[in-house]
Amino acid sequence: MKQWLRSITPLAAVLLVAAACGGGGTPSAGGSSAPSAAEDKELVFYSGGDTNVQDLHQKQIIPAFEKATGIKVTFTFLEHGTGAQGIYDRIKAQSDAGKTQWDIDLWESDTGYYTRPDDLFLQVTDKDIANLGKVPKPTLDFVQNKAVPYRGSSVVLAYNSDKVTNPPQTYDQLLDWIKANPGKFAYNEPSTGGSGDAFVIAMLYKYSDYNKYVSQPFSASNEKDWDAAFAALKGLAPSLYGKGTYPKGNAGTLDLLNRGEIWMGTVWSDQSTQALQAGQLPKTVKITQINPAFNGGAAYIGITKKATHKQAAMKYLNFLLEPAQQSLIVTGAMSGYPGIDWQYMPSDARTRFSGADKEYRLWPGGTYGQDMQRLWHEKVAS
Amino acid sequence: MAVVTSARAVVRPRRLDRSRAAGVLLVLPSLLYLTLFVFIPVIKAITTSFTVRDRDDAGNYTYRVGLDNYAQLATSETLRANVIFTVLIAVTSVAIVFCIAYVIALALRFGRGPSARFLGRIYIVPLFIPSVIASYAMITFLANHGFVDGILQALGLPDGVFPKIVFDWKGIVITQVWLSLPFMTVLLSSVLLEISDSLIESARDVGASSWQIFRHIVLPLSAPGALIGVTFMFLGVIGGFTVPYLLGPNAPQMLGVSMVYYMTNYFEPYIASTQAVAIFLLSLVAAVYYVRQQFKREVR
Repeated sequence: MKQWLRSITPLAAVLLVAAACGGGGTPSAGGSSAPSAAEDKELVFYSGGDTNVQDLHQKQIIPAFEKATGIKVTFTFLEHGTGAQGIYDRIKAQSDAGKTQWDIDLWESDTGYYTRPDDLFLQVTDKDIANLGKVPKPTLDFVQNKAVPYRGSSVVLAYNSDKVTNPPQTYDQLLDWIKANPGKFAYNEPSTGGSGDAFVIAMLYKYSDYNKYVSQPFSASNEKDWDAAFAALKGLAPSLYGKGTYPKGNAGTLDLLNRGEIWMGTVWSDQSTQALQAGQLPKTVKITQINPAFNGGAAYIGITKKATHKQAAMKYLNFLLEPAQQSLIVTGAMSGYPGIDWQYMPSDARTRFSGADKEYRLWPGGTYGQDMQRLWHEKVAS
Repeated sequence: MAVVTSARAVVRPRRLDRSRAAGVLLVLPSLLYLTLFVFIPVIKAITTSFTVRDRDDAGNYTYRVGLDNYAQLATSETLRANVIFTVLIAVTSVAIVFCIAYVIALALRFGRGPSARFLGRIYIVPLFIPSVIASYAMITFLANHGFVDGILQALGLPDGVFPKIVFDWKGIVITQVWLSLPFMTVLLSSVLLEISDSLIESARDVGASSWQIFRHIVLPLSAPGALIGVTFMFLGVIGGFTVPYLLGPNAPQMLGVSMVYYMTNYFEPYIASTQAVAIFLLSLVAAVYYVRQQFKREVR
């Protein structure tokens, strides 16, 4: 079964999932019925995302993990979240059928799945996974400890070091800089890329209270605070690039930086670092983070609640959070932020994001995100 | 002879029956297609546009039937500006394309010599370039500090004088004109080809000037076909997405872009559907005109 599973393509895996769902909780032969109290000898890991995520697990982490622990990992990868809902349904079907040994141990997918009311994921603490002690608490609170953040990215400030010698340290300093250097700052239209959203969100947090948005349920009344923030953004428009021209997409800001049209803008940490490395941005462009930081986000992996190989799953996540593996994420093709706090990272990893190797703030997104983008269009763009 | 006639009399109704059945069979796939992909979605969009969603403080939704979405379309400054902007862009682009295409078509129809032949080969080029690529090309070409601005500055134009074309209504119009020109020219050319040379020559023989020939023969005879081309292009521009998305201003937005934003970014499918109905109504004006022209033609 394992050999066969490993050799099939993701497409076949989707079909398999579909078949499993269609059967309404067909018993799957995926997990061997070894009791989890004994030493686990295998691990079933489903993941999805870009190919760089696949490469990270398949080529780097899994071989090292198998060598270190002797546990065989069955890794199934579905590109770009194709069939993510199918995997979720498959786990849920096993839960509904009252099964005690589910055939998927680890699942990496969109953050929203882990905290759904179906309650399909195991709450973990540093007693289960020692290295969780090194993970910043807010990112764990964000998913109620039902998944482990192992990498991330954040919006940072990119600037042309030829023109800007003292980059702003705070959001207020950044606003002053924009007014003092009209036309030299841009943030992209919020609906077109998260780095533009971050500039707007920082303004919302300035006029509202960050604590209202983290680990709190949605409340429409919080949006009353936003009027002042949008008015401030509207007032800022004449000082922005093109007297209030907002480029399209995250790449739009990078393009303006590259052409020297602007001297400063909000960009994603990973995208800008990759662009710098590929020579798509001049070497004079540097990144920094303000304090408090722009928002960012983590990618999570969850252990299913009745995983057949719980111990192996915990071991894998603990292994993934070791500074050595975390460095692969930071310095490799991923250009990601580590899941653990920057202070535990080796110095060569920190220098890659020097100036921006700081914790990010969170943004709940969802309904707030939809409203923020619509209101920005109604109150700032027009 | 009589035998043949009677045989025909017997066979004919049977053939008619068969062809009638074949006719139904031939129409069936397109009818099915229209039902599945046009009628049902249109009806769904219309019903959705009358669904009003209310939200309480905790973000829970309740639904009811009402006209609120249409009221919002009429009163919200953003939405109203989008509708007006869409119509203005469509009318401007169509007017410009029509004038240029008509001149090219005239040159192709009546022009002789190598320049007309060269024009006849080159005007078709934009037809083979996808709108995404054309849009990005226009951005690099016409942006401030882009290709054209760079050349003008090298020739002595001061920095900052070059107008804002990209991320502005001008960018949408220029790109739409560029993309639609070949189609309109092909259409106008075929319309002009239908005008027979003998008509023009006889007019010339009785002493008509070129202007008189154009005013009293070419223009009236080409008008119905030309207006069908205008209708098509109007429909294309009014529902367009790629060009206004990539080249347009942040606000106002054309309806195609605004609709996608409301649908996917703001999670407001009800407002999005209402905008879809607005596009549908705008298109209907053009479509009714087109159908009437076609009908007139068939009668003729």
